[in-house]
Amino acid sequence: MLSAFSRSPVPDDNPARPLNDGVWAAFSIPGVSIFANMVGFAAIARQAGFDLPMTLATTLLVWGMPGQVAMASLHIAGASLLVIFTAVALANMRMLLMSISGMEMMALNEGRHPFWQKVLLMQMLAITSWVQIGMVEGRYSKPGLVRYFAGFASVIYALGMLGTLAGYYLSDWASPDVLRAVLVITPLYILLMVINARRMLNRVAGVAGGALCPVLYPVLGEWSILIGGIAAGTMVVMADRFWQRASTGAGGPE
Amino acid sequence: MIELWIAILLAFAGTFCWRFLGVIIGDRLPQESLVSVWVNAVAYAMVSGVMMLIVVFPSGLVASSSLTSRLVALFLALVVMLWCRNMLMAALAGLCGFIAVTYFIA
Repeated sequence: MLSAFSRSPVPDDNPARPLNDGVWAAFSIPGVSIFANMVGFAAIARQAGFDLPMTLATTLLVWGMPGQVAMASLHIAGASLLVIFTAVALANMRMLLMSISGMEMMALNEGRHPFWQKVLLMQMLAITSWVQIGMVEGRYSKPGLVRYFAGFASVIYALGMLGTLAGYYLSDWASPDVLRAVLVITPLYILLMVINARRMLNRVAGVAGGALCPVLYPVLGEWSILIGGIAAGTMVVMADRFWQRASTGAGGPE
Repeated sequence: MIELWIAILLAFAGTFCWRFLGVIIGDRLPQESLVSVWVNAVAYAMVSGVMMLIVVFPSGLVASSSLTSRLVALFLALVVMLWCRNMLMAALAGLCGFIAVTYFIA
């Protein structure tokens, strides 16, 4: 969406505007990318012996690609239920950080919404919708951003379910070349969103994490995401604090 | 059959617990506190780490493309992004780079 790129604030006079903006923004690269990724997941799930209701239920309930794939592939490998639970929980652990961050971006702790609504909003959160609000944050008032998110994330959720349905039936004849091209573009697109995050600190942290994790991967394997992410994020925050203190004079109150 | 449904529910629990915990912690965390700044930074670092791992060490269908094609696509997308600040153009540039290397150069 070209308009998603403007950084100027949107007037807060029309409550329907953020919702509409969110809905339309989703019908673009994010929608295509989530659809294709879920086509890919459904193909793996079918191979793993899932029937259609199971495949759809996995997307609906888990709603986090790494966890979904971990679950289906571990099932093929004949892993125990405990192993599956642990692997999915580890693969989707970043959901904790993403939902704390999403709560903060939308100021959901200010008591405008009942608890169940917050839980529902966070259930709808996925990488795609989280990086999206990280980019448009500041263009809308906080309540406006919640409406934007609700519109965007609903469409993404629905397209994810449609992609799962389509992938279950169509994966045999869906062109692997086209699917592969979309799957290659997905991480690039998320990386582009990261370097366009509204907060500079988050952009820098993204660049640092993106550089560190592949370097650690040959040694640490899957743990490189957790360890590299924490190390990169912590270093960037510390550097920022140090720099702030140096520029405002040392010894200020915490 | 039943075991697979249990596995799906466990996978749900394994993801939902983080979201739920995120709501509980997020509710109690003051805006712009050091902790929330840190959580945001680590989340961004982790997500872009995951994405870079897909680019550099992919699995599944993506693994059947060459590393060169993916790196060229990433490079072109970033250059176009920084140059004309347009997401759609940047993604298209990445796609063109990927197609060019995969089908015409390699």
